[in-house]
Amino acid sequence: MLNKIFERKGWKLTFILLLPLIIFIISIMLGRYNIGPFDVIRILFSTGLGEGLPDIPNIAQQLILRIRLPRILAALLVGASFGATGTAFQAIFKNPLVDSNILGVTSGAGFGASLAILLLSEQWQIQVSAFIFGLLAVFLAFLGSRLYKSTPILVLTLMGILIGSLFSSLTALLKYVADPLDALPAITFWLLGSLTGITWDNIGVLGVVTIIGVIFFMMIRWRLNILSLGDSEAKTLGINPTSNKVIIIIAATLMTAAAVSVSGVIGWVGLVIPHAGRLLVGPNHKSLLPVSVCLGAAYMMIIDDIARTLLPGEIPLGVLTGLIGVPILIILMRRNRTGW
Amino acid sequence: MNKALFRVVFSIVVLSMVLLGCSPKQETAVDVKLTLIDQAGITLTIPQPVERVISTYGPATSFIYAVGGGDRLVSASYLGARDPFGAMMMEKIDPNFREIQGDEFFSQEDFNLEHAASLNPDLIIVSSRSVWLESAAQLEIPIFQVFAETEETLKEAMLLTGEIFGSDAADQAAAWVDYYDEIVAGVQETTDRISLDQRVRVLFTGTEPLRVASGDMYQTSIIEAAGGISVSEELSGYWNDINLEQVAIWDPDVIIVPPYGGASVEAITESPEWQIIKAVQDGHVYRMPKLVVPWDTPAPDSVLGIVWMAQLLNPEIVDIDCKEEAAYFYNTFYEYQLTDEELTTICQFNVE
Amino acid sequence: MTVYLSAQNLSYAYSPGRTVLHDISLSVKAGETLYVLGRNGGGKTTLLSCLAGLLKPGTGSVRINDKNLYNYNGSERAQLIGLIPQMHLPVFAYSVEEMVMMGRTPHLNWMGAPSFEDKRVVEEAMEQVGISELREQPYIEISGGERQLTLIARGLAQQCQVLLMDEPTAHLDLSNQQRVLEIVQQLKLKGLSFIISSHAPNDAFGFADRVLLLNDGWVMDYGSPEDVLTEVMLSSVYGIQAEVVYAHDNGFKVPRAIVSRRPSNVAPESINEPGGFLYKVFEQRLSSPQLLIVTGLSGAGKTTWCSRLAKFAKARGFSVEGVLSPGIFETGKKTGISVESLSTGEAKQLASLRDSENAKLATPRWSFSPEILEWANQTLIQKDSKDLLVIDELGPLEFLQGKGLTAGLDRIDAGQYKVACAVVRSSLLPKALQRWPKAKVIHGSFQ
Repeated sequence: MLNKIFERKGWKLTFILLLPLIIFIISIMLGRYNIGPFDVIRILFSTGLGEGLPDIPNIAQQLILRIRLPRILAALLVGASFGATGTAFQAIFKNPLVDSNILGVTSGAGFGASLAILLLSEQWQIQVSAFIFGLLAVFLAFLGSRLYKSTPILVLTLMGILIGSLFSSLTALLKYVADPLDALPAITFWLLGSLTGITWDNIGVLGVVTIIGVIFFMMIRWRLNILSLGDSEAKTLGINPTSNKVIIIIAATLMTAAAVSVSGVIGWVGLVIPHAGRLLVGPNHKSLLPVSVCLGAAYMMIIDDIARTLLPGEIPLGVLTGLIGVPILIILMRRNRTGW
Repeated sequence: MNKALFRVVFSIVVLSMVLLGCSPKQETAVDVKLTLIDQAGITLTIPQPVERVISTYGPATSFIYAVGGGDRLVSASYLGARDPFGAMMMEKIDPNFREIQGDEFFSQEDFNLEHAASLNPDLIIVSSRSVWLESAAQLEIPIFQVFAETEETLKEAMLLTGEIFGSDAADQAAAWVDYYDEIVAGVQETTDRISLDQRVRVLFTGTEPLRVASGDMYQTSIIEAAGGISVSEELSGYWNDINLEQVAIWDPDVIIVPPYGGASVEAITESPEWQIIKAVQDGHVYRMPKLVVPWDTPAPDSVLGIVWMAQLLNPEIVDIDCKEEAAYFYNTFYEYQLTDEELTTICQFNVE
Repeated sequence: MTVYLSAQNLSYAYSPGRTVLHDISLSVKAGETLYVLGRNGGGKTTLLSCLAGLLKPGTGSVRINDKNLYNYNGSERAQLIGLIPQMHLPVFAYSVEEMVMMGRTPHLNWMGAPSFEDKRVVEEAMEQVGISELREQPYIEISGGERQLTLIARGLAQQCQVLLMDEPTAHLDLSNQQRVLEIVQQLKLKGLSFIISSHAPNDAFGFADRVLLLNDGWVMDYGSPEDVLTEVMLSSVYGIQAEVVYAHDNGFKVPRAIVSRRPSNVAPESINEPGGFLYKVFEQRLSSPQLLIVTGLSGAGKTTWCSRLAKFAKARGFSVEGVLSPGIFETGKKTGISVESLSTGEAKQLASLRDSENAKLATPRWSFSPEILEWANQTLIQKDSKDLLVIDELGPLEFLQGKGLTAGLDRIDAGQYKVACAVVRSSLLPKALQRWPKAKVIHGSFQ
């Protein structure tokens, strides 16, 4: 039935684009605290915080509006961000096995967060530190690649991997000196990724950066096709590969740093989602990019739903994305045998 | 639990007197040795009396002080002595504290072999979770492993520590166990009357507001001993990360934060999101007290944790006074006389 | 017809001292095809990159529509010139239609959304090259010929007026080569210009209006295929014994193909057979100097062949000069090289086996005596040439380092001989033929 509808590309695309909305509505109704679906909808559409709905307990209204809503939005934004940046990086690096972490942004952010957990304590300080060190890592990789003249993208990739390893080692050092009773579990949990404790205050920057970033990538998505052909072909077709790639890397790094600083280290999403997108709509970035954004957002919301509802304790997101993402990738690679 | 009892009962204590030399007329060199089974189940022989002891484990250090062996420590890791208040109090309890503090050399992760050897110890007391046990064994100095994470193992650890440090210490350890049992029984007597659904529901959080103590942890035992119910007892393992929705489901009456790791009452009371929780609305968020050792950790001081919490949870029915007990406890087991001011400070419910 | 694209005095260096293009000028009119020929590494791809604006030449300029190419921005340039690179596969499995659509990039608005017009152009381009039915197929799965056609369609979709193609027929079978080149020919008739780099000079006869022959970055010749692709020119560029094969179309003799002749098997005795190969060579020496190159692997019998030729020549009364360098053998092993003057019959030891090997030297195994070499060179210097000059041998020393029997090299370069017989090992044969394209190559072995 579904397959028949999917035979028409338009329907398939519409369904994928609507997927985040559907998952969002389902997610907001899911939670360990039992609130009926109708009540959830009534709460969402009530404006005054709890004043207009005397029959629903105040705690339920507060939970939906102050806890679930920002958290699900954060999952949506983080997923959309990983979907967009992963797709863009796979295109400009001409490599379907990279995501936006390839230049070390996540390792840098991990170090920044660990450092802040050790030295500072406030949630916002950890976020800012993660964001800054994420950008710093990519900047260092960039600076390092300037030392060499030839094949900048290759050297940049290598530098990204090196700087990433450097920051991972520094993080390991911090974990070593961290107090095993307090800072160490906090660092470990951050490094595994989580959206626990997300409030409206945390998602402001993430929201602005992600929305602007996704709009930017939507605007340049056709160019990703051209850039994926290689530098000389891009030039022949009137696209300057160097300046375009630099801008894309800056945009993707800002987005990834903003996402990771809120969610902690979450792997595999930016890698897996573009593959799923290509299987559904093909490699043309004109439709692949929006599809990856939507699939990423939906996927991340589902992962977070599992993380927050399956057990009384939170399951780290990084664990789930790995456990679910790797088998998905293996299946996709099997089905996608004939090139990407 | 049975296993722990088994160990306490069957800890083989052999005082063997071996005569060295052949002539009874000569000065007799008496070599006294103590053989016992430590909490890792390893049988070891410790020459008596122990004079130079390294403790690499904070709680174990507090056992040693509590049985009156503090003056025989040559280096020790401390629990709760990193913050200025804890350090200040520790210095009052033991003037040698600064000299023998060895946190930089010894912890569960680190063991500075050279430094240990240079101290010429006759016993090393360690956590059974220490990662370096094999390499430390190279020193061929007796290593006593402590595993005190529950009420039972804590009592066992105290009694064993007492034995190691000699008969006076053994008496002191037994006195502590008696005191502990007495307090628990006293509280239990009154709180038994409260039906389960009437008991105060407590959430014990960790170094972060959304990190809570599992049912396996000692904190849960304290809450239960004090006549309360730990809402997070369904969790297992160590500290668990949870979300606020789960807190809302548990809907605790009281939230307690620990006195370490940067945890603070304000992180909860001043968070807009936590306002949906009844305990926060009602202002029932408290910080566990400490002098040096936090009262929620499996250490001698935890008996005061029970006292404090019983008074907090069931003030009407429990006939027990934190100040009184704290004065007695520190006087008896740390030989330290708390001032009235100090007593008031540590026993109050809303500390900062 | 107006000149559409032209280059003046173009030169390009990848780094100082590594100049790969020297002073190249060319022009292409609308509806013209220019073939760029030359050996591997001769600078063809670099030239196309310069012409397409991918590389900025060190000196000189490229003009298109009478305006400097570098005064156009990237997207304007892409609307004027298309480049079809050497075959490489993209990572992602774009469909044929998508690949062609990418040619519309310079025409698209900033959002990159193809309009109805763009779709029409793409449709037309695919139709023109006949790949419409492949539209849905992944580009990386179609055949090499179809890929080349897809890229041509992409160039058409670009709507540029000149298409540069880098070795379009490489890796294609004969039928696909023909299919691609035929499409090129049809498009050319519609007014499109092509600059095609190729390793197939034969194609130039059929499809090129002009040919640019490159050798180590220098222009060897530039003009119509018939004028440029001569036997001597091809020999000197490719280092082969080139032979142009002609066809007779309606009474006109037209060049069709270039074949490379293999060394001939000639017996020295044929000097005595009237009408035989060597007999004729010695007859022709009266009108022009005749150069024979005797080639073969080491130990094939090159020296023996020459000494027998000298013997038979002397027997027929010809005067003989020059040197032979037979090996000195001890118990079956070659332990030295001697040199023997054919005019005096004197023989001396020229080289002996080295004790230690030193790979940095041109002749790591043999140590030459400078005095004997000088003596050998002296015997080669003659005021008036004898009937037969034998030079055994011209090896790496002579060709690569300018040492050794330089007197012999100079005499051949200067044409101071009647019949010269030079021994050159197989590996150096292309070098020798580039230097002396008119030489006749003989396989020096004893049957």
